[in-house]
Amino acid sequence: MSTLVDRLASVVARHGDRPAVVEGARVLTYADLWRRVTALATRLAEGGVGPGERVALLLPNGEPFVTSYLAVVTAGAVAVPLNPQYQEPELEGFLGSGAAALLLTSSAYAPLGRRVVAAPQARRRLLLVDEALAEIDRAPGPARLPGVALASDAPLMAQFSSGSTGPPKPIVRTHANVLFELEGLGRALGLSAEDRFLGVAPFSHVNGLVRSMLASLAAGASLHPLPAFGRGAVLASVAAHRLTVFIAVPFMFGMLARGRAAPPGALGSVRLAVSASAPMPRAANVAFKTRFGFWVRQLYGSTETGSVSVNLDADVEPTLESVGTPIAGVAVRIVAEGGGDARPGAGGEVAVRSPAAIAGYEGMDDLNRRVFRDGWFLTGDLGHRDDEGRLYLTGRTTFVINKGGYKIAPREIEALIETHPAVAEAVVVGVPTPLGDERIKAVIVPRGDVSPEAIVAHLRGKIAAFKIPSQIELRERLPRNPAGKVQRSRLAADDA
Amino acid sequence: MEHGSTEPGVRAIEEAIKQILVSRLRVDPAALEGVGSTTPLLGRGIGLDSMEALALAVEIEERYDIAIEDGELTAELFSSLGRVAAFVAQRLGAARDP
Repeated sequence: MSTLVDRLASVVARHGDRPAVVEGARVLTYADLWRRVTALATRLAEGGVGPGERVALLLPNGEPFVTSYLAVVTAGAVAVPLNPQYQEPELEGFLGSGAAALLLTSSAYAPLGRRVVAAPQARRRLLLVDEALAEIDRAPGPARLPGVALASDAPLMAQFSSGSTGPPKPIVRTHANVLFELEGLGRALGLSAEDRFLGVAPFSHVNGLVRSMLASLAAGASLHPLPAFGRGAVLASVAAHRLTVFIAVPFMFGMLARGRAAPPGALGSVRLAVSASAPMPRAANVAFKTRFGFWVRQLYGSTETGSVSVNLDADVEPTLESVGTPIAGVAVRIVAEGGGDARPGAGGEVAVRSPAAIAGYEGMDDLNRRVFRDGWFLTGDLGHRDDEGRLYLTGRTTFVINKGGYKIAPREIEALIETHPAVAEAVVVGVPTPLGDERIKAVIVPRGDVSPEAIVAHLRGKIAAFKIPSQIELRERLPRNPAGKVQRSRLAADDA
Repeated sequence: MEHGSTEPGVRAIEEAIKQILVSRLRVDPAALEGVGSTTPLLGRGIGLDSMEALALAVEIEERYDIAIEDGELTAELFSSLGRVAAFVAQRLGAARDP
């Protein structure tokens, strides 16, 4: 089993008649899905898409995303999933650094897609997937693979990670990386063809893409995508299809655990709820358990490393804040100041070694020398381990804002605010909320007449709505330490 | 109290929503100074985004024991503080007089 395509072909051979993707009343079996995937892959290959080429996807969760992603990798190309909430300048940045020559999107996103591919010197093409799939459905034929030979170390997909400074870091994972992660996840979580997955975490992000979409397909399970999170939509999908696996972010679980949308027992068919991408607050997990009768399990991973650990303790209440022990084949160290291993209970930076991890960021040699050392990746996460090896995360070495599971680099927003002619300086911080989320706050030193409203107007259309600060304060000066460094933590704590 | 009912009036609900914004959504109290019935909750007003608007709705459900459907969570509902408060008052009234 050397590539994801081989793995999928094997699932199709074993489970061809079983449901692969279910949207409302529409059921696509694995055989149906494979026919569409191979037909679209053949069309892409005939259009010149081949091994090594990057193809971007700008699509919400849904069957067109699943089919497009699989078609791109079946054609031997590298999938570049992009958040459909991104705005044109952000997409330009990603497509520029990712050098994608083709953008796959749907009619709903066609105006945005056309503007992006029409950029000067872009030399990009656009394919509307819904139209291409409608054509394929009008003339269905037998599944036929494009003749592409791929090695397991061929690149599978490119994603981007936000650093606290600098441009997004390109993360290119191979077929072998992702197959290793899927194997480990499948075993740890006991995934099988009997499972039915909710697909509500965004497929453009590693959590939804690997842990929901690909994990479901690799297990031969059925995937039930939702294009956006809504409490009613989630509950209706779980109830209608008796879904068993619910992998999402703390915000989503928190929204179901409070309020009046979900009656006790409403998630009765779910055997496994897993939260990743942000810490799940104890209070939110207790509220979830009280209402639904089971705990949300915390999983730790990153785009660079894949899934690292998961807390599957039988009696999880005493260790609820832990992200658990490493998944088979993955090693975790806590690196103390000075570079040695921290003793149990002592804090340090979390380092990960895993066959699912990348060996370095593409084209970032200086950074790679700092964070990829002797096969270990220094994650930038701070934590400690208990006597039994459970991992606890306590913070970050750098400032990154976590908004509903999306990691946001403050510098990206600051730099954009500072392009406003009346702004001298801007600092952006995340203010933690009791919901396990962060509220984005900007503190601005003006050099002319400017209002918070003008700043919001300045940002709109340039960055995704979720990155626009909810709170904007104008100040004469920023709090600084004696060395002159801005005290971000004081701004976040609101006591500055 | 308005019209002799036992439900809180729209003004009292507006104040309760402001308290929720501070205690649960960590909106800076200073940002709520001068906020009135016509202040928008989204974007250029109080500055909530769609995730925060959902979080606010969930906290309103907790506070008043009412249910708000996905389909009711529209930009129009959050167009002003007064609009949300009126929605809650109307829902509470409907619960009393079905």
